[in-house]
Amino acid sequence: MAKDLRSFLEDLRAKLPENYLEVGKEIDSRFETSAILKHMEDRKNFSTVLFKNVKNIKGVSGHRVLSNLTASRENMAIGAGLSPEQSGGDLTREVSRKSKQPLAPRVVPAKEAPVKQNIVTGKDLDIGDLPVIRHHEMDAAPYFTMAVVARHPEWGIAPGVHNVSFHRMMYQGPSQTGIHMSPIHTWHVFRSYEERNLPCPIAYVIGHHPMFYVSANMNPPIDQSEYDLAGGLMDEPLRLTPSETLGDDFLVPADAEIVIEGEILANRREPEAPFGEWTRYYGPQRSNPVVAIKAVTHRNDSIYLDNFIGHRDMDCLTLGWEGTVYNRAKAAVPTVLDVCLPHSGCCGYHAYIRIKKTVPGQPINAAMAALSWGFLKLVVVVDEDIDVFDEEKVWWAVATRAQAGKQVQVVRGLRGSILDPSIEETVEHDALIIDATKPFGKAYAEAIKIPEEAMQKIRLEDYIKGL
Amino acid sequence: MANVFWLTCPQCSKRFYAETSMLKIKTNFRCPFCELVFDRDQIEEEKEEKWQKI
Repeated sequence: MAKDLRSFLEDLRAKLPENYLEVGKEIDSRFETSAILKHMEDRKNFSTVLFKNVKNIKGVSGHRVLSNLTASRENMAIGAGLSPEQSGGDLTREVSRKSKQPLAPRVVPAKEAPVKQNIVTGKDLDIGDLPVIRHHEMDAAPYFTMAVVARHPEWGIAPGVHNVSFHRMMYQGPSQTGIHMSPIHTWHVFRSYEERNLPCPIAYVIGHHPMFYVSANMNPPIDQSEYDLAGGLMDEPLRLTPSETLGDDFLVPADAEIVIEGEILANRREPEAPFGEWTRYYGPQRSNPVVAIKAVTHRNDSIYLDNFIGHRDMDCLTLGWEGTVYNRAKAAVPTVLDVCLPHSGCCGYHAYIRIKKTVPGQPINAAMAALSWGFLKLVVVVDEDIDVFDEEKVWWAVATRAQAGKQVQVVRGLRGSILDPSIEETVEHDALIIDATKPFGKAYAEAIKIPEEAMQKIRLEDYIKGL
Repeated sequence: MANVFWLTCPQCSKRFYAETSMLKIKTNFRCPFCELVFDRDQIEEEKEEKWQKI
């Protein structure tokens, strides 16, 4: 059986059953799934939840919605073929390793593609039939929160290459959505079409294996398809099948739960957003492009996958970003050991890098390479004795190993994130580098510790009961 | 995120924000709460010069 969302859920239930919950009671797609997930979050519970009876915007119940698929690193470790206990640096390194072994996808005919079990086009088409979720109070509408596939045109900068990346889409009517694109790869594809006044074909993939979505969150070179990357991360070629309405050369994932096909219209803009984003703020209303929907294909009894964006569900999905930063830092400094993009930076703005410093200057080299990824505003580089997944340890290193006058630098005018509330007219931002490593080749204070033999000898339970 | 300004829906009086670049082009606004689509002339705050930058 090909790896997909359903195979992953089987894995999850087998390996980490406490991370999987089902809700059978009827619940509204308008704010109510969000309310349940927020209540869980307040109790530090980030389990994956299958809502089995969701009411869509038309008031029709019985839809299945899956949320928090990617809300824990333990889930992601299972998705990457590791144990839940390997959810720290092991997971980042595994994603990095697999991302360097891409696998070409395998094309299958429509009759072998589960996503073609139901094909809706023409007058029957109404994306309001799907249980599109309205997440936060000021959201402009229900939003699709998954990944877009766009194919570079023959005249574009990467002819024929399928690009996959995350983009919100706002429900605007039975066959229309708005779309927001940061000026990265999908935007380049769209502009290639728009410059010729042509619509840009896209497919929206709702419901697949978590590693498919991690690949969509990595930033390979523009001429490498995330489809290949997904194959590498999933340890098997991604199965694709020709689209229904976008031409046979436009391939969509055969094992997705739902695929929406459409075209981003050239030279047309409409108000889009506000929308609660991964920064935990609402992105403002913008004048953004419009998508004309042409088809919906889906499995029987499909599972609608929603990302509870602005919460852990998005944070852990940024494992793709973490893997990308690791790859870049490691390419610059081979003795980079770990990279963590912590929750405190929305898993996108801060990076902690652990290195074995063998040459002076390596911390800055590693930090500059990490900054080349784009969104980071703070990079802290620490020695190999610091666990970068323990934020308190990282800041202890800053407190005790860094001097602001010597080891802190500001890099100005980098291309940043358009969703950062603190930037102004353009997408430029500034970044802070803190080298919190000990000086190279000099005697330095030793961290305190209890003798190891004493630690081994003393069993706490023999002295203090109930701890 | 670019500069934003708060505006009030002329129908439901609820407030939301938009990118200031929307003021430089001919475009409508859409209230996220009541879905009213309205144009720039209908923005109450603009007339009262109460826009805020956050």
